[in-house]
Amino acid sequence: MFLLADTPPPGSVASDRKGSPWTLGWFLVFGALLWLAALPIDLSAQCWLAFTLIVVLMVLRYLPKRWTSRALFLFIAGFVSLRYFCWRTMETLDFSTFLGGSAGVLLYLAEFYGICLFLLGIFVNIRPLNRRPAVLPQDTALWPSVDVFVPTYNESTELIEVTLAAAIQIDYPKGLFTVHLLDDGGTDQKCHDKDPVKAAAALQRREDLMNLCARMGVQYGTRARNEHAKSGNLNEAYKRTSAELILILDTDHVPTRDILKETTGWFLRDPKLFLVQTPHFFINSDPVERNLGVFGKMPGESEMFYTVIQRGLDFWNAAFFCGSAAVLRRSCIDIVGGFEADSITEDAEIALMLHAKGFRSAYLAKPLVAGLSPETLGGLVLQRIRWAQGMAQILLLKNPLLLPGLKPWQRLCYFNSSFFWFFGLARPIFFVAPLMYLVSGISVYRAGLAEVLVYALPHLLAGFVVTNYQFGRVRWTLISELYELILSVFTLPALLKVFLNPKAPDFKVTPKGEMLDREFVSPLSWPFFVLTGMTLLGLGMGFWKLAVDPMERDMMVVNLGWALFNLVLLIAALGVVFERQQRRSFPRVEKPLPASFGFGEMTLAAQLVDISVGGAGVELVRGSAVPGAGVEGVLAITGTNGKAYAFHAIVESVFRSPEGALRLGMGFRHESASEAAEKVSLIYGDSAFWLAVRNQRTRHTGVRSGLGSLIHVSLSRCRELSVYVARSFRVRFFRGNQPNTSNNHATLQP
Amino acid sequence: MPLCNPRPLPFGFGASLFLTTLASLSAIEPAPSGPVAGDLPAVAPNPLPQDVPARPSLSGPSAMDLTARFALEFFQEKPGPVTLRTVEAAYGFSIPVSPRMIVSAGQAEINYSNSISLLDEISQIALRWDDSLLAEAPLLKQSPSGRLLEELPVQDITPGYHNLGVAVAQHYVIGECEDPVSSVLWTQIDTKKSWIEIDYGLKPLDPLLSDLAWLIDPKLWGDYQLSIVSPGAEPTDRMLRWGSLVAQRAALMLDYKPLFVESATAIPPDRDAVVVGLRKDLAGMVEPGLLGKTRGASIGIQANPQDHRFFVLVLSGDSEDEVNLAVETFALWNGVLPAQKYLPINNRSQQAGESYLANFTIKSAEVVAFSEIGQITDTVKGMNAPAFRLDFSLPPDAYGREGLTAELRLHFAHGAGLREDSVVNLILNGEFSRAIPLLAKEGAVFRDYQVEIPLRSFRPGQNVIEFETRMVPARTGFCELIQQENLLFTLYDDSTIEFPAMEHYVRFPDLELWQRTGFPVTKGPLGEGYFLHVAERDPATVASAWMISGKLAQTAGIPLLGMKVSCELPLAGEHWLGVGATSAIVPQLTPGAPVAFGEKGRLPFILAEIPAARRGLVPDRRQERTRLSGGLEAKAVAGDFGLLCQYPSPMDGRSVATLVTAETREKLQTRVSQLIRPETWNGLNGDTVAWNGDGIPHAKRFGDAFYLGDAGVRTKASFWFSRQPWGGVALVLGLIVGCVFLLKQALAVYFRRNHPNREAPNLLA
Repeated sequence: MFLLADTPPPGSVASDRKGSPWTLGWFLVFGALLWLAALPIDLSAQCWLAFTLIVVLMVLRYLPKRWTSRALFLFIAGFVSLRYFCWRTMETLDFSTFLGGSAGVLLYLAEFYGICLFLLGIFVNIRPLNRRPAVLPQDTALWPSVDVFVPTYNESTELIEVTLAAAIQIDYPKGLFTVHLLDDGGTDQKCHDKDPVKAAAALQRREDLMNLCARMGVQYGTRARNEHAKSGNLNEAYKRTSAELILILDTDHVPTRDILKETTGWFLRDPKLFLVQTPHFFINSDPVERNLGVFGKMPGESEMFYTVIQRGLDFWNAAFFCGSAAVLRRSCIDIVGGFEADSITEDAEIALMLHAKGFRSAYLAKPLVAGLSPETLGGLVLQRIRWAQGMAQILLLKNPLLLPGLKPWQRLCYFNSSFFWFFGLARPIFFVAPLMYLVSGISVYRAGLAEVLVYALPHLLAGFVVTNYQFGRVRWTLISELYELILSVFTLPALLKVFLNPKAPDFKVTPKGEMLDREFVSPLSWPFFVLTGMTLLGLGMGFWKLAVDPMERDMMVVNLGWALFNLVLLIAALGVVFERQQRRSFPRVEKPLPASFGFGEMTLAAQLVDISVGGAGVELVRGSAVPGAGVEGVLAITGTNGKAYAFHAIVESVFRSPEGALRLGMGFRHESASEAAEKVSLIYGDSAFWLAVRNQRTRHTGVRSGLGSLIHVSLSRCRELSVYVARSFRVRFFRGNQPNTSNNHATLQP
Repeated sequence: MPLCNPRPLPFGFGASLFLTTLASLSAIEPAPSGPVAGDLPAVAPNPLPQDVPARPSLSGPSAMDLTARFALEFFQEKPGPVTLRTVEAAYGFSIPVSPRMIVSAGQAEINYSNSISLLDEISQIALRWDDSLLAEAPLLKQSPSGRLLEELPVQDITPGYHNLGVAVAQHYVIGECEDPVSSVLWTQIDTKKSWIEIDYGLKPLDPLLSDLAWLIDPKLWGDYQLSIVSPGAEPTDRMLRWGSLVAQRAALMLDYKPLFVESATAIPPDRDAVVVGLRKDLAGMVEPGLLGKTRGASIGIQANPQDHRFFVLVLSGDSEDEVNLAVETFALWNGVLPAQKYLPINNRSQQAGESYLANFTIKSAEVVAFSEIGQITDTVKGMNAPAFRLDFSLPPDAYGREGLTAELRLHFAHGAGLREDSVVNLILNGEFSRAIPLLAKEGAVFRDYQVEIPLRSFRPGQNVIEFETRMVPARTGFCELIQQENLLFTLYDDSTIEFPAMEHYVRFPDLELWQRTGFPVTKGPLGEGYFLHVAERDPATVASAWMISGKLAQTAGIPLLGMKVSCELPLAGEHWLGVGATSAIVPQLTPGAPVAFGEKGRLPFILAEIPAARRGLVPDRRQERTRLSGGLEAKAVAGDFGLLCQYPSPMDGRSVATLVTAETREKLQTRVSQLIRPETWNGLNGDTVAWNGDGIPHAKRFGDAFYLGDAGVRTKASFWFSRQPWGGVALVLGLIVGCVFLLKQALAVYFRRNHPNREAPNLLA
């Protein structure tokens, strides 16, 4: 047990005021820089200034990344962009026509959004913290007690079982933690649904999960009504439990064994700490990665946030609760009255409220859960709409810029986190603006080619190199823009709904563990076909006008370049909306471990290639005997910690790898409870393994390399899409057979 | 057949053209039989044809029988041969004749060359005087060079402006269709070899004050010389100022033509004179009647008693204040004086209503209708219609940052049936700026047609925008009737031009700006804050100072009533112009000058001519200064050179000092007489100029730059950054480095405060 100490920890030195002159000096110098950024100068001088700074940026890129060079890099890039924005504000707005003026203002606001985020991003990430786990005391009696909450709604029992199996194997004194399954799919309300089929299913689910919990030693809990969705579910459990800390795990977030040992120490060290958040580490591909075929090659979409941005927020004491894979202090939750909140992103809102009350948060950048991304574009869109709406609700209902109690830097961090989700408003404007000029000749940006080259081009270059410099390990060039493009089409109406009625949005559960039995064009794809068509039309008209009307050459060239850039993103988006097959509900995890397969009298030496809770792939040693399909035996695996595991398995297929090695596809059979638990422990229990996987995925990629790879895979995928469309066209019109252009798993219509 | 007029007469702006033309008249070659110059210091001949020995001058005993011959190029706005194209073409030279002139004879010769493809039988050249045909001749292909020599009709050479016109009819086929714009249809007039010659004398005068409007007349041929007479041995400081104001008034009446002034103590017998002084001192010098029947300030006029072809203007009073009143009244009076010989002046306020219509100066952030600048609604017609001209001035010290634009909102109409390549070209200060396509085949009326011109394309001071129509009929087929009557373009005078907010900030030294706008003389509305320092009171130095003040008034377009003129030293805070022989320049005035005075040097040999650079609202970077290792000595200027230099005033380091000097007083007067001629004056540039008798200015920039103006810090910084981009880059990088350093310290403090009891962050792990 531990006590909440009121005394300020040593080193907090509230009386240390030596920093004030530095801060004051910084503000003065920064003010001078801002003034210079807004100083109008001749184009030739701007040309020298901008491109000299770009050259300095290029040089700094190749210097060792020490803090000073990094800060220099960010400030120089920020200055280049600020100069652009000041020029944009003072020189380029054109109100000569109502339509052009109105559209120009919209574009300006969209750019203002982009610049704000760019600068806020520099601020947030000025000094990312690299927090390490705090060591717990030797005496386990001093360790805090923990309730592990696993809220569930409609996930499959198999998925829940895996997570619970991992949860009960968490390496923590048995008496100090309890696992609770919080079932919202088997509530009284669900069990008494007017639809007898649904009621029966809910009752069956409750019974199945109660049996499962009883078998695994997990506390089953449900409630009367499904009020306030996940937050209500958590709140219900929070009221009936009492441990000092609460670990929250989504059903698809399988914890590692050391999750509590790695996180709870910080609560002992800092009595004002209310949260330790860890990354949501995904072991499957999201639809963008899967459909472009870049999973494993490209860093996951969430890596940027969990590897860099949350660390930056942590420095400013603004790392926030992400709903899962986090430990919270119950006494702090008491202060804000539980988990219920005004927004549908109650996690971030609770963190905001507790920060406003002076509590602190911590972010530990070590993957301690293995999660599942939404498998379909529909699932991804549904999830992101919820986030966008929730963060917009926070901005509208609990405006962090005005909320009492927050420090200025925390306000900026929370504003950044909320404001980011307004990309849905900005991104479509960037696509329509050049088309207005190319198609209808409406100018929304008053500038000549020379001005664009010396102001806008350096700004774009600075934006690219800064993003790559900060996030090159975790994000390919233009991937952010691609995600934003895909999501903006759907988040735009969702955001407008929030603006009209901030309390309107409901919590919608993200579908997980979906399977796609065939390729199909997502029903969410039509906006991208329309946008692509419009852009191609605009480009055609633009090139025609360029040929016949040299008077407008400058602006035409600028807009054509802009539209071509958009087309690159749209081609990638078309690649994404062409959904690939996915047959496994549990993704295979590549784990090269020593293994052997024993059947009958024989034992074959092998190497484990990949494994999931349903089966494994093993590569036989060259020259060994080859078991046929249907052969049953025991697959023995030696874990990274030297522990031996043995699972009953059957050979389902025998094939050769691309390298020519002989491989067995195996399914697990006749599983005991302990065997199942062992398997989960082997697959999911080792955080060091996840760390290695993450490091393997996050390799620095240059701007050109990332851009080239994206264009390559996008074009390749678009080629496949056109083949598919042509084939479907033939089938529909010449064979009278309709292709499957919709999918039952897609849950959302645009 | 269409009538093409490739070089039409100025469209409604004949006067302005001739003001420019007459500015060149002093450089016009006199006829072989012409008189020699008067007794002003000798003026070195310009590099003109050998048969021109001297410059005619309206003074001296031989002024009765003058013969002057001028090459026709001096009557052109832009010198060069005139090429007449198409089947029918004409060109006109506008010839001025002053009411003071009695012309006894005149002739003109046109030297031309024509295309050898022309058919003699039906190709002709004709010479006209106004509407009268003087001569015609066939254009011969066997003898493609020819000349027309013809006497001018004396009875038609009346005061005013006359059109000496050359017209051609050119054909290359007979009885068949021909291309009216065929490239073989041309005749070229050599305007250097073509000339006009007039024998004339000056009328005897019985002048009234109202005659002053034509007595000091820019249409007079030859140099105009004026004596400013003051009784007493040496002019006092007040007399220096009075003489300066008289010179300014006279110079303004001559428009751009240079005024040559002498300082005298008695009325000269052979030229016009202005007598200034106390009534009691003038008794015996002028007719008693002109000194007033009553007491007080007065202006009177009489014929020169020794030669009635000249006049004597008397500005007098019983006290110096009354003389001052008379002089200031004369200087400011911009209208016509009464038709009487004598005008008592009670006070100056009665003339307060007489304002000067100087060139219209557009102020910062001002919208001006074309009608306010003198452009009235008008219609032009035809394929080569004359251009509309918009003359206006911008503040001479205006600073316009890049990116700002002046916006024209044009209201115009154009005719129907124009070919799609019909356009209106906007020519700003002689350079193409924008085009307005005339695309409506049915004709159209446009309101608020917006045209933006970069502010930097304008010049400080005088600017001209020309709207040059180029309308082509829709049907121009071979051997087809070409309808030109529909080629119409009307520009309405409620069109506007709007300039953005401009600040006042200008880089000095800049003699180009000084010669073109007069700045900083024109900083005050009437020259307030400017000081004309006259080094000595001898006649030559005084006349030099007066001539320059006249030139400055012409440049500014206003009499510089507020300008102080004195032999005293200028004070701190005053911009000043010093005039004097080198030996008379006091040492207090020379520190900071780009030329060291007192020792011999090699200045004339290292001064190279700076090409007249076109400049916008920022100083031209090509005028960067040249550093010299050796000393520059004014004595080296002596010899034959005059020297003009500009530098920060040693009195305060912030004001502009301008110094005109030569080795001796007489040389000074000679060189100043040359300086005020357009060919020298218009070539002033840099901060140091030397010139000798050939009038070619040798200019260079030696000194440090300094700046004048009331611009704010932001504009000054913008100006500096734009001119010193590397300095700006260094400043930005320096500030960023400083910012990073301070941030590092501040973040360290933040970390200690907000992350207590934690390990130091491995920031980039």
